[in-house]
Amino acid sequence: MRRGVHAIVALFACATISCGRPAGESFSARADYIDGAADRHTLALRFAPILSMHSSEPYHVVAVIGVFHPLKPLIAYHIFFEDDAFLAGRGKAFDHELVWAEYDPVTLKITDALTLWHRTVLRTESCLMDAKASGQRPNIDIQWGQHGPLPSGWRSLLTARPRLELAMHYRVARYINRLPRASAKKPAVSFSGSYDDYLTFTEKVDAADYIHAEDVVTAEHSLEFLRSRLGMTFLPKKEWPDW
Amino acid sequence: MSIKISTILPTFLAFLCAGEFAIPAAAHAMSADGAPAARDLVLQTADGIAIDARLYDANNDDVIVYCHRLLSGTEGGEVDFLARTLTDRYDILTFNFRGHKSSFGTTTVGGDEILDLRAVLSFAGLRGYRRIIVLGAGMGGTVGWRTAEIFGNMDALIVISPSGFSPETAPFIIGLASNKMLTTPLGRVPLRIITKTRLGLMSSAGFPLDLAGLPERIPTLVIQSEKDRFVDIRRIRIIFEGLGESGTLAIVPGRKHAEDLIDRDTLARIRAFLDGLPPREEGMRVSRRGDAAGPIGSPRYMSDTLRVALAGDSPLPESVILDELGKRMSVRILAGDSAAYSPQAVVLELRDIFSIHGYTRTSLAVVDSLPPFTVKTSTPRIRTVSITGNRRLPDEYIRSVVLIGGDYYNAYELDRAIRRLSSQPAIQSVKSHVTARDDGDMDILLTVTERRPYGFLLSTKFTDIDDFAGIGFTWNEVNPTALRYEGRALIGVSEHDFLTFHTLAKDLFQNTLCLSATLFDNISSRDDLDYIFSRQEVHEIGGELAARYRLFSRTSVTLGAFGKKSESSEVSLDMPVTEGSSGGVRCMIDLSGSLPRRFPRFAWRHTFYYEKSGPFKFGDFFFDTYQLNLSGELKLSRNHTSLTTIHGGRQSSSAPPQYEFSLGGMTTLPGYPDDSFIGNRFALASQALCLSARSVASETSVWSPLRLILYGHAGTAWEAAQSFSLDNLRMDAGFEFEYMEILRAGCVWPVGNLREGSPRVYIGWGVHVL
Repeated sequence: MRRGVHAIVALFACATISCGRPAGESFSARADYIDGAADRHTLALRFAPILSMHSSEPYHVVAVIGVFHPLKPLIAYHIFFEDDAFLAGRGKAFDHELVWAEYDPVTLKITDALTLWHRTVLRTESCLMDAKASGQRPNIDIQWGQHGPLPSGWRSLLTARPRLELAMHYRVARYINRLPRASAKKPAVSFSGSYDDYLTFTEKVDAADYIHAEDVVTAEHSLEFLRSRLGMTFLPKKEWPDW
Repeated sequence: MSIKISTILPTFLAFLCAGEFAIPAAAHAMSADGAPAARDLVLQTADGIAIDARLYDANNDDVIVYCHRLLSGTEGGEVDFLARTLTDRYDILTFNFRGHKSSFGTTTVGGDEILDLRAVLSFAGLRGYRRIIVLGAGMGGTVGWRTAEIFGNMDALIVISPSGFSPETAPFIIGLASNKMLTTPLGRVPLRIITKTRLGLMSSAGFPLDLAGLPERIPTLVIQSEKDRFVDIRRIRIIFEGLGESGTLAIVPGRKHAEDLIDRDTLARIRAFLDGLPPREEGMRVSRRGDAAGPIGSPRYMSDTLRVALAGDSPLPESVILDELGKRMSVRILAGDSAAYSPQAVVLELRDIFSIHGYTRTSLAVVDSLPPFTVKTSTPRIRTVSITGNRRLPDEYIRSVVLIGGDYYNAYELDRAIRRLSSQPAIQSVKSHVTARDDGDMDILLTVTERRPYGFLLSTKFTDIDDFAGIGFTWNEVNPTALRYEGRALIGVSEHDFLTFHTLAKDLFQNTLCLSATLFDNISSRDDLDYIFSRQEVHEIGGELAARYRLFSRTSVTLGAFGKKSESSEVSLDMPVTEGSSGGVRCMIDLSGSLPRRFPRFAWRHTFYYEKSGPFKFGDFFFDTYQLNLSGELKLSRNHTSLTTIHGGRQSSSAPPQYEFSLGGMTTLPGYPDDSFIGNRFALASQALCLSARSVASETSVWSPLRLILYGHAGTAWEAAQSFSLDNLRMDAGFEFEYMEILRAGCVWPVGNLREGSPRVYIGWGVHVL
């Protein structure tokens, strides 16, 4: 009986310690030929989103970093803004947003576009079809001040999010942000227009303008790379839509 | 004479599976003497799958790429035969399709396998071969045929017994058996163990039901036996009529199939066909492979000798095109002889580059024939996508699946869209028709044939005290009504008891309305009940109507009503049951999520359940039920996980006496007797460690899907007048071996002070019962 227990413990220990590597990683290293290995920077530029921002957006884009998934044809665009209207002056220098573009490595066409909107992954069919018809680049609406990325056609989404929260965010941006905050070093910016105005995105910003060759990396976990580029002044977020 | 079972079983299975299997002819089982040395390679496909290839390099200018049949591989006897007999003039390059033998990934039965052949063709192109000929048998022939139409990049195609896989394209029984074995989980385990072929979970997600369009531009030879037992010869003749002058059909006597047909007579036909190919025209590429140096697949780049400018509308980035052109031309052009390539040669290479990306209809024209050549490209766009033949499925649904239109026409994209649509439960088959407009753009017509989307599953389970046979039936109606029905039944083989679950659901505004019912009779063993809300050893009939609404991303609220009727057919001495009925309302709040920052590998789910019976004095029982379920999954590593569940509950007022009433049942067999938990309060915890053999075995190994689950339960139940006591805990410990989530076998012991009974052993097969 004791021998059996020892055998089970040994099996468990061996199995736990020996963490297998995913197939793609081990094979890529020793593949004699890799089919369809296009230049990563070229691909990152090809599928870079077009950002539609509010005309009175107070913060600018400071960096866009493209991260390729090591095993899937999937690009994460980490978009950094100067600051967040709700968190201004709290010590976080950058506001971090995420847009994903999935592509077909054979046709080099976009096959899906997703955004991380306040911890929720959003996708719309119309955003994808618009991207296919306009040079394979998704059009993403950027929420005023908070920069939550909304895929074009998000108004057709019938779930409670984002509609309820957008209305709430508007009221915070419109009214609450005007209140003085003792903990903040700088006064918060506030929105002054109507709710319809809040949902009007007219300023186009091309994310490709910010993607340089050294800003493209292949990694499943990119936090270290992002921090090496931008410092420790932003909060980590989920890196891939299925996490 | 001894017959090995390892020989018999694959034959039988393959016969059932695809109409593809054939024992290599005796003449093939020769030694490899006379064949050039083989070189094993690893190629990575465009979608990241690593496949094993083997090159018989005799330093020839031409190469024959051999594609094996389903369930076979590079070790087949016909490969040796080809290597011995054809390498006087041709190198032989063969490979294992994805999911076969040592190649990674899972097979899609001829669907995504075109990417495997694409990778091999690209590799052969970069080796600088003058001519690339594809030879395929069975599924390999089908893949070669489809690749010729979708990606081109081959100079000739030889197909032996091209197979279809639907009941329409093969004799009925074989087609039906093939379809069921390949598209349901039933076939996955035996195929994996016996033939080392890994069927994907969604193997039906896009395998081709029929051959694609005809490879009109590529000289094609089709060899087919007259009485092939797997392929309808009449269908081949009909298809072949469309090939015109570019195709040759050779009907040979006999009943042989696939590589069975590869013998000396076939070889003579192949040689005659290759000798009869039209001579190379001016501007065809000129091999310089003999001069090439460096490792395979790492050609030297052209420098200033190749200067090409692109004009016009291109579906691909210019840098991608020029990069590939540089690689290709670097192995084609004679060293230092810039005059060896002409604008026509560049156009041919560019056409192949566009074709290998699926842009087969891109037209190219040389605008300026002096270096740097200026080549104008023009690719048609998709103007309209029309759908016909659908009566129940709305156009919007079909469009949301195919997702094409608005940009450049691409043969591979259309093929994938058709396969994606074909894999939908309500689709029988899809055919496409592409029409060119006067301005060059394309109109696509999709002709859809619908079917009733039902599924059927069988499961069995044997334990030490009872045997069950399980039957599952699903029906997903995809039409404007969008009704779904799912039924499951457990039928006791020895006790003649039964338990059935029925759910009728409909999605409405991204929420689900469902009507569910649980019907059972005298279930004497309830080991594997999951997600039911009460258990009684009496008749019960009931139903509920629930609406599920997703408030936030991982939060849902379920509101519902229920009604039950209990009849006391058997009253045991220790548990009297009162007859009567009850009805009421229920509410369930479900929260789930993960900890992304400090503990990214931990996912949790919390469920709160409340049931109120007897509002408005309806029914005979009046009680409130509260349950709370907390569960978490911690990934210990890439392959191993730890599952923890804690749940408890209580009932108040005049509830009928019940055995344990659990919101989320256990997925493993408990080691204590069924009547251990009696009371209207209970607490239960379980812990399981799931250890995967993948950490020590390769993904391609037969053993890699095996998991060892070590688990234990601890729980107790008590009456309202009593109090919770650790001394009353009943505990068990057990282990289970699970293979591909279908085959399960385990043993569990009762442990602790209150242990009763003896160890229990169980074995199960199926997916929906366990």
